[in-house]
Amino acid sequence: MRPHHPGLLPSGPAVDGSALDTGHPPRFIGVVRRPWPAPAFPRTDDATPDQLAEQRLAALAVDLADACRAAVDVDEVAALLEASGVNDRVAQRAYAQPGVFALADALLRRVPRVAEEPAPPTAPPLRPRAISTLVRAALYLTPAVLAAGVSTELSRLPVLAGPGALVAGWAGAQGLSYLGYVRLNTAGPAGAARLLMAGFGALAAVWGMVLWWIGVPWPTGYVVAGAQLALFAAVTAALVTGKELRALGGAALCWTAAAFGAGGWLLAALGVLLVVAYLPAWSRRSGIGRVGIRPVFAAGGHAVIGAGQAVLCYVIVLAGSAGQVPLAAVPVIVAVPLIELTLLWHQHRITIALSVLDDPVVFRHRAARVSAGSLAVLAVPAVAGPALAGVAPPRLVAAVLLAGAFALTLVLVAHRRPGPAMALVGVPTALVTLPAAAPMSTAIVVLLVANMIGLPVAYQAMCDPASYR
Amino acid sequence: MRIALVNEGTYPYATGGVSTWCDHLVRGLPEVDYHLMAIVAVDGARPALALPDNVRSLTTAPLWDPARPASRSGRRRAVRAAALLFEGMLGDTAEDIAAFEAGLRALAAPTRPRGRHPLAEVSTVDPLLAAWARARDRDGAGDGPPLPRLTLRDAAEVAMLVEHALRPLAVALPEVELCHANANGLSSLVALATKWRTGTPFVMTEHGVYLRERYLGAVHATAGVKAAMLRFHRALARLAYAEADLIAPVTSFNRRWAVRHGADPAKVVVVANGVDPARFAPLHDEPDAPVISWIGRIDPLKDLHTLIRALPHIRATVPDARLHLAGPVPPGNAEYAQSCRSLAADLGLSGAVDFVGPVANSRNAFAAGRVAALSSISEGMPYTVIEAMMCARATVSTDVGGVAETVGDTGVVVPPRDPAAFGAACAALLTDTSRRRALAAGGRARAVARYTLDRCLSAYRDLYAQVA
Repeated sequence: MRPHHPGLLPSGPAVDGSALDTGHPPRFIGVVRRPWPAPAFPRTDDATPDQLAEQRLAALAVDLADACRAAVDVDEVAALLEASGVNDRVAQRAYAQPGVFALADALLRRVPRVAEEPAPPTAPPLRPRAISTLVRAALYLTPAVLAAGVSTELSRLPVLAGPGALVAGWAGAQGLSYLGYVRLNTAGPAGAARLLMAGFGALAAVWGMVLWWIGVPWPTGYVVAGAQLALFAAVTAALVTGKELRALGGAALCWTAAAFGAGGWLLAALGVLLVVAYLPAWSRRSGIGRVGIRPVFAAGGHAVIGAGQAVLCYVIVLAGSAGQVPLAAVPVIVAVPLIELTLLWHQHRITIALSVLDDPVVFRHRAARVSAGSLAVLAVPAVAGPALAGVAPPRLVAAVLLAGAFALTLVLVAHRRPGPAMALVGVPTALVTLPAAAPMSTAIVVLLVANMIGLPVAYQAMCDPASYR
Repeated sequence: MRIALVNEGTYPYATGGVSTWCDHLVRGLPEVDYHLMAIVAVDGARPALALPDNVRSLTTAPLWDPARPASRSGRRRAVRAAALLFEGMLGDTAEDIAAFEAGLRALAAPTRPRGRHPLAEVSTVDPLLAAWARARDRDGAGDGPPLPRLTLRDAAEVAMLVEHALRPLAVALPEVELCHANANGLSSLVALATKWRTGTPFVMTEHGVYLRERYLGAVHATAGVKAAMLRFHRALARLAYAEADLIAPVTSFNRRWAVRHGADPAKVVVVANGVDPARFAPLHDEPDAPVISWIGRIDPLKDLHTLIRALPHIRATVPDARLHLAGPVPPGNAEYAQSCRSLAADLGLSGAVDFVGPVANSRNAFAAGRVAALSSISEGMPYTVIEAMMCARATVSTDVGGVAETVGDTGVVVPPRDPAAFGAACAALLTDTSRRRALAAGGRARAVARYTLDRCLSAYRDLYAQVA
């Protein structure tokens, strides 16, 4: 995310006026209470001009004590003095100094140095971010939850209209959300929403043509595929543009409609969600900025990860669920918010460490300790999965291990390890979907191995200081 | 003659101020082929001004768009160069400047594929922290303010900011005979790199003082980030002052900063701003009412509070005196504008202070008053004063920046933040018609003699010929 640094570098999303004019007026001291020559200056009949100048200098030093204490050098004090109306003539006339720079130097020398205090730990408050994280997790899970609710109907449709659209939507959401965040940095929410709108629009058009090409009959297949893509499009827009809370209302309507099996109402609720999520696209306050070719490649990697997740989710959780809301969905639904909260706690501890430490070695030790705590949570599915084997249905065991693999993927993506993340999802996807594979037993073995390999890789990623820059 | 005109965030993507100055320059010198380079926040904007025919190309250098990284070996070289850069920027000696220059030269060297940025995706946090630790050890023995702590978060932020600040190094200028950097800082960074690569000389114009503006702008950063970035900008400014073939501040007031930071005084030539006398023809008539006119943006630096507080002092002598305040309220200044209105109301002067908002032509605003006022606490060389003089309006101004040298003896200059002095000066002019008219006529004559657009253009024509 591009930070806002008024005065240090141009940072506005658009150039409006000088790049130096970032919306914040330059500072001026504002504490120089006494104009010069000033009636408020101490005037004693017997004071010599030098004594008067000395008194004024002392008074000015008191006024500017804080500014001088925070100053980097003489020039900063001089700049502040000039911005407050002190020029060389004033310095000579009122303070008997050769000029502003000399006056600034005299002021700095009068301000006693104070012992430097340790930097205070700073991080955004945890509780509101935890709530926001849960809201985001709820939105993120909405397509999967609704797919679980209508899994039987999905499985009756042609593959590309049901599960295929789920995979396309999931992959599109992962890839386009990456591009959306890139765009958000330069063009703001409106620009990001427009990019997502164009991206999902193109995906829907392509998917519609594919369905027509393979002869899917009108209208059910098209409606279901379109609804899935629209759902992913809405959720992605809300997550990228930061409008989760208002989108959550629309998502809740979708959940309710799906719970009552009201297809028409579900479509209507989806329409509401879509409109709410894409409201920022109509804002006139759109910035500018292009998305280069490199982010497109990176987005492709994210799309591959998303596709793999969707395939695994469908094969292990949704396929063959016999008309019931699959029990196997529970581990994934529970794991996503839990791992998000764990990562939030992890990031919070790291942020605090970065804000107080100035020694990279000490930070590495701190990061290792925090990462060990996060690893303990990440390892739960790898322990629970084998423990459940033989006790719980194989599909549930596989789903628990799948939740662990999803969590590890999330960590690797967050720590900029797209290659390992792709491997962690891609290899199990390939093995589980092999024609000769017995899906559940294969999935359990493959996902257990993936968890065992992924845990140390994720730990190493979390310990790497470079991944926090 | 082919000249690259380098701007940061202004021409041709913004209007007013420096952009207007550039537009006058480019249109006023049609014999010059200009290649514009604009350092912008992000790419993709459309120029806000129509470009004249003698603009041959427009290149942008976005600071915040995604950048293509250098090759692996190029990145290793970049880390070594950045280490030198950090080492040099934190010190204050000639050796430090040399180290900074060596680092910057290495980063500017065209050894990587075109368009790739030397520091993109390169972590320079460790060399920054190492340089910072050594500088703090050295600082302990010095008598200036010591460097503050640089936390790891600060270091990451500084490394990121420096990386983005150096993005313009990746952009190559077309082949030109002269580079005209329209400020110190990042504009001059481009000119420096071009000079090192091709030997092209460069002229630097300073409208304000880039370095001073960085000091004043460093408001919200932590102590460590602020110190590091100001050291970076100081080192860059010093290097640019030393390497520029000619430096042209708009006032002598700004010249002091250039000389203090290493500019050879012989290379510093003050070229004042100019306006078109035809556009600001003298105003022969005065309004019936004793009105003081002011024009500018409503901003704390303009210190309208002093002007409003001066009004009771004026009305003590001229009971029906009024203020005519013309100008826009920039984004973020609504609170200040409201404070001005509240102050007028508190002083019982609501009916005597007119906030008329933006005006298309400042001459109309001057026509509304008998005297033109400028109450700022900080200025370079304000166009407002030159335009008022050109319009033959007597001026009362505060003694800030280059104002006193601009008006000379044709206007009244008082200390800033002194409502009584300001009011007394205004009242004296309102009540003394002959003096007011004499000053107005003197101001017009002085402006015609010193501050015309033609004279400014002619000066640049000569400077270009001298340096190229």
